[in-house]
Amino acid sequence: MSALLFTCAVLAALAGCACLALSQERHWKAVTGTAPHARRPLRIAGWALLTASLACCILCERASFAALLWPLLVMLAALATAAVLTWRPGLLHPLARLVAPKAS
Amino acid sequence: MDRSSAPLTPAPLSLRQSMTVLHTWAGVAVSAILFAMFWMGTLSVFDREIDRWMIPQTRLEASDAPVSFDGHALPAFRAAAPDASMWYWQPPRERQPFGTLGWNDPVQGWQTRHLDPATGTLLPPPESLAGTGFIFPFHFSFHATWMDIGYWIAGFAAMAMLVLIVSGLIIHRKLFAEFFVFRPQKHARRSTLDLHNMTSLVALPFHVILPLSGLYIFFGIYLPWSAAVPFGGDAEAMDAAVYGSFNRPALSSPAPAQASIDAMIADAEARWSARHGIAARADVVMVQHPGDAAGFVTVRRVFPSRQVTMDADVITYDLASGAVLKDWSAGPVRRAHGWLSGLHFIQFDHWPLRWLYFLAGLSGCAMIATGLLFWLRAREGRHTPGSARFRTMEALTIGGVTGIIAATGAFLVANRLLPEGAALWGESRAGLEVWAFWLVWLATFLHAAVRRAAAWAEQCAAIALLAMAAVLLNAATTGDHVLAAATRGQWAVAGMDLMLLAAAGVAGWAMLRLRPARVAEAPLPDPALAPAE
Repeated sequence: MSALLFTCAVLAALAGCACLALSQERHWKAVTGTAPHARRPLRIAGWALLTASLACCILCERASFAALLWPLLVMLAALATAAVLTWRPGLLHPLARLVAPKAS
Repeated sequence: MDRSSAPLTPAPLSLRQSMTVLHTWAGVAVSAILFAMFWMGTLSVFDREIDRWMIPQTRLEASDAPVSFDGHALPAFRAAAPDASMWYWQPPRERQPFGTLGWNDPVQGWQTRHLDPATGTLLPPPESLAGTGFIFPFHFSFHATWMDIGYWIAGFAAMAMLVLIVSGLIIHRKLFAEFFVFRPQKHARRSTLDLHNMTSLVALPFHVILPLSGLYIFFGIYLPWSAAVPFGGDAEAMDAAVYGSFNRPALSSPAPAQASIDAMIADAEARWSARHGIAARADVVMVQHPGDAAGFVTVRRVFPSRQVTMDADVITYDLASGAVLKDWSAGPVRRAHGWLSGLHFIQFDHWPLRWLYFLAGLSGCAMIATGLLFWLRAREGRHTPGSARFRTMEALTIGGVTGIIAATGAFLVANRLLPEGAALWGESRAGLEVWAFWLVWLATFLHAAVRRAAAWAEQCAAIALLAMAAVLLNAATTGDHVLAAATRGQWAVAGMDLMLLAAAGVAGWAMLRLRPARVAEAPLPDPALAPAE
């Protein structure tokens, strides 16, 4: 297993779940305190990053392992995103500013 | 999901309403059993590591020295089991730094011993069923052997799990909008339901494929006709076609010679490597009718270390001549079955995936526990909490959730407290550990029935104390405290201790969260605490 590809798969899953969460009004408001912004691009970016994570899994493992690894990595990323949104929503602020520089 | 708005009139139920009824009652009926399966299955992810912790004599240094069947295992078998009708051998591998010998003794039944590859000598008998002997079989059989009843209960629960997943998806009102939502600051009922929804959804593929593959593994038990019809009821013909097995009776005359079994293993590995284009290794060798003229040797690749698909290659050799009697590799459909089985057994070597399985299993445990808790919390405000039905569910829930965890803690503590060779009323040391488990589990149900809601916090306290006691007893009786084990490279033992400390921490936190004052808290949200939405 290539460590670099595996790290990319984890990071892409995390970023993908964070984007999908920010594309929702409730979480965007909690993170930035402003009106929703760029919902559609965020949703597309989220799914694209999750797909990129799957591609990294397939490249660093055999398909039979990637089929197990990817859904569980997405689970890990979704749990981490939910935990951040619950206790430290500010951690996602840089990502929100990346999408909407004026949102801060 | 707001149950209070459900109409009480016998008008036809909408799909969502009927699914709510199904989800509630199927959940109430099987949740305690499902929690036991999820809990034991989650622990089975680290079955070998639990074995290292509970059987300290097997905490051997990992060694790269090749282990020979003819040189190491054969003399041990000839000395210990000359009369056995079958010898079973597993060479050392990453999570098992020893060879494993098994044989069916004509008097004492199945025997298992471990072989130290460094010295070539047998270790003393294990004296504990540990992870692979108790926790793993509990996961699918509850150790209820009468008429295979345990397998049938597990199969029924797995089917119910799939029903619960489908009905749960239908009744969830905000599948995507609340996917990442957890509101611990809201009232207890809301945050319990948030946690139930989140732990179900994030691991949804896992929660579907694991019950499904579990049912698939035991298809021969649950669907005996599937084998009986195509093979005319001939179980042996089915095993030969589906599992590549071979059989012939003993001749009761001594073998004229014995071929080298190491040569058979090398031949099998060379054939598989050429066939699949990978470096294949044999991990199970079985000698049938040793010493007999009709003896034969089965060489298998049950759990390949870098492959999900399991048990797809078997070659059988004649014991006397070394000639190939049968060379079987699985076809495409059987390989799909092997992949589904392999993903359920996870005996392949993949540490990130192993930890993710553990996390997904824990999320399943949390899903069931919060589902049960929600049922109780939704009713304690509305119905008479003193009703027999409510009290029964309360005791079943507490004993089924915190009780089985406490009983597992007692199993580990008993393992470190009982002296070597202990025996009581005809029970061996291994049997006494199992008794400790069952008695403590039974006691937690009685405790929950008597102490009611207060039992949550009290059993969490018991779990925390048992987990810490297990860590201290491991250090006291074996000297392998976390630092010592880690410096010796005994990561299985250090990891077990760290997990026990984490469990003690989580149980302590849960004790504070589940105090009766919180459980009985008003069902309405406190406007001062609720964030503006």
